[in-house]
Amino acid sequence: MEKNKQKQVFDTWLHDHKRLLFKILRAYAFTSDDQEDLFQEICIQVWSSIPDFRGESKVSTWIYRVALYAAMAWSRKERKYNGKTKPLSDVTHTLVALDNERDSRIDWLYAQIGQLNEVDRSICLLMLDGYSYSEMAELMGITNSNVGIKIHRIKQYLMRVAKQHSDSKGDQNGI
Amino acid sequence: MEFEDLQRIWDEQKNESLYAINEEALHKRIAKSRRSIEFGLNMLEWGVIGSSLISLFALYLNWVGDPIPLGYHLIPVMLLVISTHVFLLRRQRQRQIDEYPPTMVGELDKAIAQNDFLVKRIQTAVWWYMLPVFGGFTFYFYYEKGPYWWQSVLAMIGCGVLSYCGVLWELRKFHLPKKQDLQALHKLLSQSE
Repeated sequence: MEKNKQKQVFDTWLHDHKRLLFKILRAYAFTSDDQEDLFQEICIQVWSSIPDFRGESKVSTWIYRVALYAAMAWSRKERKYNGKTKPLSDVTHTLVALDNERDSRIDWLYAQIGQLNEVDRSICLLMLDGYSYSEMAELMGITNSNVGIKIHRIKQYLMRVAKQHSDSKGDQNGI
Repeated sequence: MEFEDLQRIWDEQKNESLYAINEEALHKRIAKSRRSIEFGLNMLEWGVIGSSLISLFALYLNWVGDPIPLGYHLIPVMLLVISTHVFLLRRQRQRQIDEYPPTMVGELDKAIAQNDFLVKRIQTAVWWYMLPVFGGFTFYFYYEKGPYWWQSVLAMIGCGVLSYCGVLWELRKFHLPKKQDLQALHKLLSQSE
């Protein structure tokens, strides 16, 4: 594939699906430097995947798969080398935080998702974004029943922490 | 609180945009990116092929006009065999890599296979590339008995030992832990309990 064509496709994908990428960033990286690093890693993987895209799945599903895989791999590497990587403060930033008002309930939800292991985090994001069991199974390359078991466990976990949070605030609508 | 309430909170973030993308910086970063296993493999393969062919060319350039004993031609033949072998292995690897399904498990299998290729290639390079090349050149300098023959022999032995230690260090420090990491992630993805 020509580099210009690849750049064109990448720019379109980035424009149309950036919210999807931001969701993954918030679920897998928790400081601005880490989000910057992960964003670059994901974009490199998405860029590299463009020549392999045959149009057999939706673009969003393709990007989700590539980005989630990149995030899982990054997360393991980051945990392993935590503190040993060089800070990104001296690098030109590719991601600029906007001064929008943040919804604390969404921040809380991302914090809880961040407590899950790398794989369950991926499944949780797909589940919340409305992917069906079979779509998730196809995207991940695992069985429907395996997806079902993981989703059941994730839902139980989220309900438990939500209840604990509500109880600690003494307000059922606290989140 | 029910799960539907959490889903409602999640759906509300549709209008929340927290970042802007610096596209110019991003494109520069992508262009500079050279960190993947694929790049390491390409470098190793083209490095072996290129250095073999350059050495072969340099040898014949050195031999121009001199009567060369027949046995000496074993070195360039060996270099040609090595570069052809690595080139064929490279094509075989590229064909196999294309066969993995576009799923996350498929991506992991592909990454594990690429890492395996790299490990095997490095291990093979020690015995089938470094040993014959460094050994061959050591004997060549020894029998040639040029003006700096013993310094050249020592330099070849030193380079051989250093390269061997470097390769082993690289394997243990980077590639084997990377493989274990990928396998752990694969297990986490596939297990249902």
